[in-house]
Amino acid sequence: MVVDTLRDKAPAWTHGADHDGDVVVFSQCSLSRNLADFPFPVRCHEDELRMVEDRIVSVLDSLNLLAGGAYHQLNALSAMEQRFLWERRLISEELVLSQGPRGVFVGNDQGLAIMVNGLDHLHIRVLAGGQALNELWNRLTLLDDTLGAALDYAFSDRLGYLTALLENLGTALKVRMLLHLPGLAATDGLAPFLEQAARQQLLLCKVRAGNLSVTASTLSASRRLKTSTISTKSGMDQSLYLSADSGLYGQRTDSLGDLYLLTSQGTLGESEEEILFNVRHTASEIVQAERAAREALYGNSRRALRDRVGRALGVGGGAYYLDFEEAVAVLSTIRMGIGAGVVEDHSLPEVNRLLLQAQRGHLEASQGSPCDAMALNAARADLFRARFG
Amino acid sequence: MICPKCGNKLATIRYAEVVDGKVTERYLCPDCIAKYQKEAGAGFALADDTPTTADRPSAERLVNEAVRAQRACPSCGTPLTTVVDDGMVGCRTCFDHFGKEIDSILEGLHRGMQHKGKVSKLDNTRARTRADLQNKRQLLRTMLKAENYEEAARLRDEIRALEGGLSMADSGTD
Repeated sequence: MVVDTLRDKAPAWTHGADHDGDVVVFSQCSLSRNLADFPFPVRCHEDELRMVEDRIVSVLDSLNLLAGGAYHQLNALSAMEQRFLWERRLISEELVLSQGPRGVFVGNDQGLAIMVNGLDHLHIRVLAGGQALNELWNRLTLLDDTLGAALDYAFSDRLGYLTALLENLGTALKVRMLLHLPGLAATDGLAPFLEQAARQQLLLCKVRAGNLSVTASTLSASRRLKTSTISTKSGMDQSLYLSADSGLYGQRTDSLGDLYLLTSQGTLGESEEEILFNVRHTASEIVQAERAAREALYGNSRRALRDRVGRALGVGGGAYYLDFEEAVAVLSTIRMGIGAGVVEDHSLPEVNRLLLQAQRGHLEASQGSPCDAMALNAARADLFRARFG
Repeated sequence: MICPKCGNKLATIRYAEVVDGKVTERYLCPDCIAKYQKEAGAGFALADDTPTTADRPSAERLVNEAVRAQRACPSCGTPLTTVVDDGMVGCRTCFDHFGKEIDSILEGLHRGMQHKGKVSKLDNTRARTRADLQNKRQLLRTMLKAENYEEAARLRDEIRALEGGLSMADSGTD
């Protein structure tokens, strides 16, 4: 079972304490590609999807990539396993909601995922801790060149790499960073960055508690996909939901655990270097502003910070029921405390790992079976008490 | 993204206009939408519920709308409505077939209309062969549905030959 092999292995990105790891939790780059002689997956028949999958997997094999990880067919994975992989950012919601033969190749460091037959034939994603766009892009583009030489991509001189969604074509590159911004959130300092981001064709989005719907449904339209996931809040919304749809508007800039997603949007009319530069530049400014905001908040008042952190550690170390939102808030405070040097017994990698393990898919994987909301809250509390008690 | 008209505010409203089957889609800020409404005058009925003489659909407009509803990609069958409403296409042929509509949509989504950046090192012959393959597979499916097995067998052989040719070219370039 894929979950058994991955569950106790922390993804490499969780170790990212350097490269601004106190503010940037992880960076992610992805490319979408399609084969030139098949319709896009949504218009493929099942046997065509199978042919695409076979061809891609055999190329991965011939390039000796399969040895560095494992390919998993999505239909062979249980709902729990799919949710687990989704929480680890190794499969996308689009892949889960697509139909027919599809799967994902996961690299051993869990920093590489090659998804097959989601919205596009190929969706290659790389992850790293902290601000790591250069390293990520080097890895991604090399892999893309290698795969592209063996597969013929659908490409047009004018429109670039062709994708199913018009918003993705061109470079078909999406760059994302998960940022921890308690300082800016508390000092109301996010507004200028919203505008700056918009000017660079970037989006700063909030993070919320959500759920991956793993029931059979058709991915026939991206818009339908988007509206279906903004469901009424249920007790089972116990995963980090990162999506470019949860934009920040107006006065409401609060976000789960003070976590924010910075994401590139446009893919046509800009080169890959330009997109990467814009994200890197905006992120650097946000990181600087965040550190200044934290200093302004607690620089003169260590006692206030220690008090806050102490209370968070108290909840983490003493609660017997811990719901997801509160757990993420606790981790957010502890994370800030570690960055400020007032927490000696815990590290950023540990907090990063807990951020994963506190989610529903991970808790169910560790329990070995699906759980209801109460059981999840209990299991989460047990996990935290073992770390912070 | 920033409103392209004034370059100041965030573009939070998607405005789509269909005139004689041609779709124009723009992302504008609330101020520019209001300005546009004033300029367009009586013909603009997006936010206005009171019926005017301009609202009564002419026979020509109805016919155009019906034609628009039927337009679909000849290769994969994606209807125009999917392209316009969902911003999604089904295959590479869609880009040629729905050229104008797609260009309008792309204008509102991206910074430019010309690809900059990495290029795919696929030579023209190979690209043509791949496009050929997609069309032949589609045709094969149609022949099988129509129970024209002779044609289907012929197409299947052609597909195999083309695929063989491509993979031989692969192994030949060592």
